[in-house]
Amino acid sequence: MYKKLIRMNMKIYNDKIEKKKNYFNWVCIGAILLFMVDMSLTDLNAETVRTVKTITGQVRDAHTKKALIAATISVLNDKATATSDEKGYFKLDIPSSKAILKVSAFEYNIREIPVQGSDSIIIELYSDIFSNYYKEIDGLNGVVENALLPAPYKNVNELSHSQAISADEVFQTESGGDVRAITRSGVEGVGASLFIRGLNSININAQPLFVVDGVIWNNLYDVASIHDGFFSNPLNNIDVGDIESITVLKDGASLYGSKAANGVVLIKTKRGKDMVTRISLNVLMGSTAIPRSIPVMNANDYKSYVTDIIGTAGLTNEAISQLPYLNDNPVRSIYKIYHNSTDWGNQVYQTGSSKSYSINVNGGDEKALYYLSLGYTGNSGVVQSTDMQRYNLRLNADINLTKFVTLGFNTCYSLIERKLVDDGVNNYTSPTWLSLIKSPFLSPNTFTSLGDKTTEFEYADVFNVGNPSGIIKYANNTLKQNYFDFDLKPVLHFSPEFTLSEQFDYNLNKTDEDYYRPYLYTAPIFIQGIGNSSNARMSQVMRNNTLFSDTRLNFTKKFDTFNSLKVFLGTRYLFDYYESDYVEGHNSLSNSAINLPGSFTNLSASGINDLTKSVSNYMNVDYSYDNRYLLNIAASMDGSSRFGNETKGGFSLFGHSWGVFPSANGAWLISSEKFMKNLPVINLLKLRAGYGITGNDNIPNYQTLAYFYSVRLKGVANGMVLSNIANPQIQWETTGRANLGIDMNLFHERLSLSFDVYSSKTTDLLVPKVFQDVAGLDSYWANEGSLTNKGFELSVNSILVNDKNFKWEFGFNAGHYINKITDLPNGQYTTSVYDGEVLTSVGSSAGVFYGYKTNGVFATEDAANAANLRIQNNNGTFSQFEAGDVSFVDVPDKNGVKDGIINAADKQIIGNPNPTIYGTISNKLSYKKLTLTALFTYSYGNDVYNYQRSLLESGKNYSNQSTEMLNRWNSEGQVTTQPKAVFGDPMGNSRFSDRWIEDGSYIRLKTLSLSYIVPLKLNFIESFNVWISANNLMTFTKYLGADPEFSSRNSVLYQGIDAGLLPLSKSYYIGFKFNL
Amino acid sequence: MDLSLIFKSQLKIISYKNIMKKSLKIILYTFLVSVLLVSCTDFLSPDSKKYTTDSQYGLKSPADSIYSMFGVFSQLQKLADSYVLLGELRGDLLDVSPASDIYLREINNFDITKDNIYVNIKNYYSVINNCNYILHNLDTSFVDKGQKFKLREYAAIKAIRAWTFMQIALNFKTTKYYENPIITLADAEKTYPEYTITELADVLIPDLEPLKDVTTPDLGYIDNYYSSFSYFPIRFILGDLYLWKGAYENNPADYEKAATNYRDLMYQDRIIVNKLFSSSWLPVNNAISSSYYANWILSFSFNSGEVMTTITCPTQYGQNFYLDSLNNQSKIIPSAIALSNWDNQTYYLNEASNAQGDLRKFGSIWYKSISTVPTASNSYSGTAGTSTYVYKYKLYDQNVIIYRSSLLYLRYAEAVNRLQKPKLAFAVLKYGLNSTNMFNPKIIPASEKGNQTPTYMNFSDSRFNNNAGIRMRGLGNMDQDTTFYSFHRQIAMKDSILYVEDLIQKELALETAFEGNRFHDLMRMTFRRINNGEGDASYLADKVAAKHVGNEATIKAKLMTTDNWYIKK
Repeated sequence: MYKKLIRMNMKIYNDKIEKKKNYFNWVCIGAILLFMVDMSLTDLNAETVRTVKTITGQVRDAHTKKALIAATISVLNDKATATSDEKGYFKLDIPSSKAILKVSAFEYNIREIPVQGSDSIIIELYSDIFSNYYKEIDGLNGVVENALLPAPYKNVNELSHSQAISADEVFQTESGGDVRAITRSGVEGVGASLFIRGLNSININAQPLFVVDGVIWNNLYDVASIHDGFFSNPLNNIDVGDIESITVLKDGASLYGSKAANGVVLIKTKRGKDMVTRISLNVLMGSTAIPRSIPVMNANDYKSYVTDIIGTAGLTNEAISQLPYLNDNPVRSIYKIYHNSTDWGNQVYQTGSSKSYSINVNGGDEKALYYLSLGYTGNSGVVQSTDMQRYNLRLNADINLTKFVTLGFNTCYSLIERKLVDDGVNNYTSPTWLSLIKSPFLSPNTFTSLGDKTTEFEYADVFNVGNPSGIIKYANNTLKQNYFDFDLKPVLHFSPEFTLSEQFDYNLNKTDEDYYRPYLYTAPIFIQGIGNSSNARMSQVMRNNTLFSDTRLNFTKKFDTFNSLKVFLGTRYLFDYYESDYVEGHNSLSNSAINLPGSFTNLSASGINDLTKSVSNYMNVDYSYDNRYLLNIAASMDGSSRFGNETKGGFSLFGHSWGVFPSANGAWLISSEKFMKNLPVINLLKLRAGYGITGNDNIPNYQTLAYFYSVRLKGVANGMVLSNIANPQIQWETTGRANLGIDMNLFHERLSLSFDVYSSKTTDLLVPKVFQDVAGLDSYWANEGSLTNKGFELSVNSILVNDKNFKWEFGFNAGHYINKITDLPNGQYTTSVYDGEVLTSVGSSAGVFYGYKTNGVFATEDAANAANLRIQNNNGTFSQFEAGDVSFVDVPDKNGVKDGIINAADKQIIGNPNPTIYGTISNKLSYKKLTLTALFTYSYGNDVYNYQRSLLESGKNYSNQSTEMLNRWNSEGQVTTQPKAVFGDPMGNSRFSDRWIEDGSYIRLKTLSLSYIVPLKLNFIESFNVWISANNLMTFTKYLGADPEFSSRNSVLYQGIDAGLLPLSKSYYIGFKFNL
Repeated sequence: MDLSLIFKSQLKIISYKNIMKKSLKIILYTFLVSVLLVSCTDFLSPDSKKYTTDSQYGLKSPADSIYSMFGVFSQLQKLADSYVLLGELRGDLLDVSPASDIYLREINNFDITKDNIYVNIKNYYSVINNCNYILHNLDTSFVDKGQKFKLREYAAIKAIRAWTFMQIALNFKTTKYYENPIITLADAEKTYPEYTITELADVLIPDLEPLKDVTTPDLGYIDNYYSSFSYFPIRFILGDLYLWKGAYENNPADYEKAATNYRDLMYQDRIIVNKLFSSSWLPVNNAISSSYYANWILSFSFNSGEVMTTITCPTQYGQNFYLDSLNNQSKIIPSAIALSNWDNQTYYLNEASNAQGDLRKFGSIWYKSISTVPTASNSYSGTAGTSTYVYKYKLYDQNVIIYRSSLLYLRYAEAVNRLQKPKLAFAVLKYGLNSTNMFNPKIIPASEKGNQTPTYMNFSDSRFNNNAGIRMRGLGNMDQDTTFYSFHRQIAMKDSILYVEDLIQKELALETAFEGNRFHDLMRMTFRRINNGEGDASYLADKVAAKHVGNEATIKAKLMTTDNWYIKK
């Protein structure tokens, strides 16, 4: 009776709508809406006789086969529900013979079972210790069952036991094959370079778009810090504990149109769930071990090396004998200064420690639900004097203002304070690098005239190398990052079907950086235009304000048993204002006078002032037929102040160029079909296919304008010079990507498998194009190149053991891509990177290393003469490679002739930083209340340019060298791989060659953690977990550098270059979590 | 109960109706707002506080043209090195040394590649385009205190642009010619006409002629540099253009216009070759002693009245200006020919007392000791010998001189010589153009004065009283010398003219060595001889090849083809 009534009402309602048809047409607000209405009408007609079927079944435990009482059985996307009785039985009326049952029980994973026309069914559930395919994903269009998603998404929502400081650390462990996340360095919270589905750009941002609680974030991709080796990482502003879920949209993200080509990462923070007040308290403590570094020579070996190198520096024997450090007479007063044995690493590194406390409360009443969180994270780094403190506060609330109006409200504040030192290869101020190259026979401390060591630090030494201890003490490098976000989202609920929402967000990200390079403890730096800079101070303030508005009209309707439709359309505006002000000054010549104005000279200031505005009109349609045929269509129409108004890829409206980015993704849930009944081995089979066009609007600002820059004439007068010629054609880069995927769950859900292949082509690639001579300028950005990415992603999850007490789950996750540049307007070109070169050329991948191939070292003079290889000196004369020099490969020219001259024509591709395959391997073992997880990350087939080693084995100056240099060539006939040490390296033996290219493949035990649910029976504690965890315990690699994982910059062309940033090291944590 | 349910649902439907209406309104409203916002033309237009854009700038404020003028000066700085290196290393007076890099060798050997760091055609077009921007936007009608200030800037920029066009045409054979600024990609991709030096002269002469009486702007001092030296006198450029035109077309009218422009410039700007800056041996008892005054070098200072145009270069090391370093590091050195040119002159005190050597050598070059590289056997560096370096570049003090009075007088001489007045031309070298000499028929015969002395021969004004012969400032009492340096009219006028032109050519080497005009002067004279049927390319080829000791034949062969005189684009 009840159902009949509902149906009647429906009919009346539908009739009403039918009458409204003309009205709708008359309004004619657009094809989309018409489509929507038409849909509703056809659906109406399609509704004939509704088949009602009754199904019976039993719910039981997968291992014990014991009946599960009070399990909830519902029909997916329908109202019908039932509960299992004391024997696990249930009976349920279902609206379609191909319906999907959704079964849930306490402490068990939810399962979705296709009825496949059956009358009765036995349902086995697995413990919720295992990970579960059947989960709800909070994606672009609200909460959707994973099984019903047509597009390739990857969702992470178990972040409970994470020692991660910043969300990007989670990408690597939780979605290793879907996102190639490369931790930038060992500095806490510095984040990772992220690449989804290959490299989708060469010269502009190739990092994914971050959308946090619906708001587009500026990922500060190219923001330069004044601290060497440090990166701005906006994700560090969110406490990982506040994150509810992270969803990676690998495809089907055309909703974000011109911003989505690199993939979209949706981050949702936690919100109040229900009216029960929950308090959760987290405590974490940890320690970080001193990282590995390339072993360098000890004092004796170094002295021998220095003696060798001085012999080649053109100094006379007499002059050499006068050198203070080569005189071993202990009577001399300065003897002690030059006769130490210092392990400089000990002077620089320390064991790091970290602690983190957070408390969050969620709850509410009928009026409002809230989530409030307070957190503190602090750590001291493994480099002495460095630290980080983060304070964060978040309040998310959902308020029911009236029956029709709800209000979402988020506010967040975080403050990060850091003390830093320069990191990476920097011959003046990076203590970690100086600890490698500094002479081990020197001491960090001074000596009295009597030869007693003092506690005072020594100044920069005779080799012009600063004292890392002095730098650590006197450098004053700080960073203060304030993040504030205010977000309002009123929603008008006109009817169960229609809602209108407006999200308004204001966001401020302000970073103050201060830098001081100390006097005397660092060697003076020669700077063109200034001369010698003995000390310097720099200061930078970066301010990023964004205003974001998103107006959206939502329509959700289930027309009958079979047809359901979700449509939304809206308009998004984003104002992004980025300002940066920088000042520097030099030579105050005192470590106490450090006020920028007043104390310093050669003051100079510069800044950036960029305002970017973008608009997007978008729409999204999700249509599902009987939960079996799923279709998603999304499109956006984007405009941006960065686009020219004569773009080739867009259309013109209101005097501006607009890009259109459509996508369609469909899926067929084959497992729901009746014919699948005969294949009980397959529990879920979903086929997905899609094609979408997205764009990348991170093109440089103001390219559409002719503009001038200011020059200084004679250092005093200002002049204006035309520096950019307007390019009204500049536009987004366009990526078209096709995706084919399959999701399978097999053997009673014991094995789940997901496999996606994709092929994408990025056109309108932004590449530098040379101007005609008449323009008087070098080059401009033109949208003329193209590249392709082809690859696959595979993830396998398997329940290996499901005993009563012992459970074991194994997961394997792999990603693969082949990136290929297919078109460049000006042909190939190279980019200089850290004394090396990266080639951009048609037919090869982006970022390949371009240098010389080598063939060992000439052991004898005869061998060298036989090879008869020469270089041309700068003055046009030639020098021949001799015994002890590297034998470089002379590449034949077009006619097959080897000219015997080693020059630029002999450069070839010597390495590719792109991996063949990368991902994670996970194991989760649990025994009663103990759970052990072991997660491995791996990367295979990627080459690395070991820049550090190229300097530590260059044998060209007084810098300390790696112990490998003990094998350097020094006598006729000696067979070795290390060439002779010659001051200045006149033959270029240490040039960028395959000597420095290494296989960067690795597999590492990224995390090993053990957690225990303490069986406390206390009224006020709901649960109490203790866990211990270790990071980076073991790394298996052939790589000779400190650590195979690093990302020297975010740019595509800088991947796989070990620039000596602080390596990752082992770290250990203990954590407690109380739920009250 | 059932009924009430139905009733309730009916009620709901009614409210639906309202809601549908409302929501439709909202949809419409949303779209309207979006359309309105977007159609606001400003909404998506980029605006920037960081850059000054064309639309914001456009020389709208009176001070803007000054910023742009300084911008042009900064772009000219990039041409200073090229001007000197291309003009001298390709000539016979400046040479490479073992220390020279491959790019200098490329210039020296006429093998300039695209990678050459000293030669970049874009730097020239950058000057031109920035000039075009000013010319296009400058409001010349702006009047302040009764003066058309902007017209002065307008004329100055036109002169700079003309000079730059000339440099391209002379170095690269042709120049693309355009008068509108290139500020959009479409402008940059247009095809522009290509002009040779004569075609260029035909365009530039009518462009400059109306502006030749406009005075140059006065923008005061930039640091300690007086900005007035940055302007190119329009008459000088006009003179040069006519001279080049004459070299191809041999039209006396062109030479006359060249001579007139040069002379008018001398007259109006009071430009003389001043006696005061004569270098001389100190006579002791009417004989030459061992010490001398090097007054000649004073003419290079800004207050000498002889410096006309300079490109002021950055004073900071390593900023777009290499000349100083190249000279200090002996990467460019005076050639043996340059040195022997001076050594082979005779200094004339009187008939009894004379000496070998032109005192202008001292100041053009100077000596320095070469320190030895320390070796194992020689513990301390010592002096291995002496070498010479270009002292003129020290005198420049990072202001590369483009035009100065001696060059003006020598160009004048070149023009009048071709107007059948070799004696007048010779007088420029030996006696100096002042009223005394002009009225001395031994110096300027009546035949050259003609019935009605042309204006370009009018030097009777007292401002020319101190004018000396160019040689007099380095070679003593030249005017009294009848033994070593003299010229008697040949039987054929043609031979006299060629003879004097040779003397002018040699005088240019002595007087303006290393200043950047050598190669183009040789080029012009050679082209003139080729076009007049008076000779062939060997006039230039022989002189330049002589510098390449051991490699003369190859270089000569290369230079016998005039196309090789230009840089391949």
